[in-house]
Amino acid sequence: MKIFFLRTLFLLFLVFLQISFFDILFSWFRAPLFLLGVVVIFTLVRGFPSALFMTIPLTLLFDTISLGAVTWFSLYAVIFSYGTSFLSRRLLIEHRGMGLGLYALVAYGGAFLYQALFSFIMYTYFAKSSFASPELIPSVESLIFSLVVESLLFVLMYFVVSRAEEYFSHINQQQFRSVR
Amino acid sequence: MTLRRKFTQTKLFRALIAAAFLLFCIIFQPRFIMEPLRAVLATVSWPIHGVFSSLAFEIRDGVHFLSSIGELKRENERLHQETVRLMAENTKWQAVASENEELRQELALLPRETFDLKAAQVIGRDAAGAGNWLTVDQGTRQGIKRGMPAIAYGSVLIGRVTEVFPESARIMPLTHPDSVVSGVTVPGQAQGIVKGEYGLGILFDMVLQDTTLQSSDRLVTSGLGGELPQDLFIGTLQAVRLSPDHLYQQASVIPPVDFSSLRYVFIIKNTQ
Repeated sequence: MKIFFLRTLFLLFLVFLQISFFDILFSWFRAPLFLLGVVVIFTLVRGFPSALFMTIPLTLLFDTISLGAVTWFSLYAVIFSYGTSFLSRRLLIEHRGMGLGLYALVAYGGAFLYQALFSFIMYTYFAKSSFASPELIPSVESLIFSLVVESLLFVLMYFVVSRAEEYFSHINQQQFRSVR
Repeated sequence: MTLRRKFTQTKLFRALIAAAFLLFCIIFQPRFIMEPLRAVLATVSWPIHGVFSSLAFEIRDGVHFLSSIGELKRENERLHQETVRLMAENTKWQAVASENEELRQELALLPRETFDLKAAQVIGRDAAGAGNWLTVDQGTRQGIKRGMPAIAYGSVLIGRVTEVFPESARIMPLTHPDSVVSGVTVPGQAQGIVKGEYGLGILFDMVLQDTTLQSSDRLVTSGLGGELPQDLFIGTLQAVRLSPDHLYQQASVIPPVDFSSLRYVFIIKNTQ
């Protein structure tokens, strides 16, 4: 119960960070950049099957707080997590030592793909019935800036999530010992 | 001998199960769980949102300041010229205002209403969509009610309050697809409906063909229906065309402020 409570608090903290911090900082980016990075980290740290138990609640909490309805983002995050898991062995074996940097790129790529899909759908729908030209694609400077920040954050968050997982595992073992 | 896993033990199977579960949720939307949970989280989390959003605004302002140092001199000169121009314009309007006041007294008209404003800080934005909502740090405890208009500096209409929690509220901006406001152009007095366009733009629609619309006309609220005060600035018309059915005129509207970069808004409390 304690672990469930702590994990929920941890997930809520990540969601609040996305909604109130990163979305204000990167207001032109139409994808939850930070949360997609966290999904990649969960997949790397816990493995895909266990990561699902964090990814799904994380995205559902995000949907609940932001819109009050389940959106396609949750489904995208699960598919993205599966894709990361699919890539993980190959990337780590072939690029030992710089794996984390590559995963940061994967996370950014995932966010960029989400934004591209969103923009494509909006533009297709928008172009049919409107004649305004909204700026759906951010500038190159903005993309580079977000890539740098996302990469740095990814490395930082990797260690934060790893430590948190170690801590949860430690508490789990303590509870198990006390039962025995 | 090679050990083969059953399909039900593979990652793909688990991914499919998870995807099916989420698809089920997307189609059937378990709002009976999400709505109460959302209300509780919105009530307890506003201080955290406040801290995170303040930090984000400070960092963003800092980065913006550093990146714009080179432009500051040019910007300063431009603002100085603008100040002089506005001072001259202000003098002219002061004369018009006093004349208007005298005429109102002569005609025994009521004075124009002054707004009871409540300042609010933006503490959250739509992350996955197209800026479809803003969360502010004022709620029912501060007297905020559903339907109240939110403005930025200079009486620029931002949107309306759609959800209220004890310490926070959610504002639907004019760009939201469900946003509908009655507007009128200045000059020209062309009346129409101001609609949001999928969270990405604003459209001035349903304007009769016998009225004149020009691309530089300014759009303000008409006050029809009584939900919004009159003369709140909405934006400037950009491009004008006929509606797809050729019955009405339409125009795209450029709002004077970028909704995604707003830090503070003001909620008008005395509209009803």
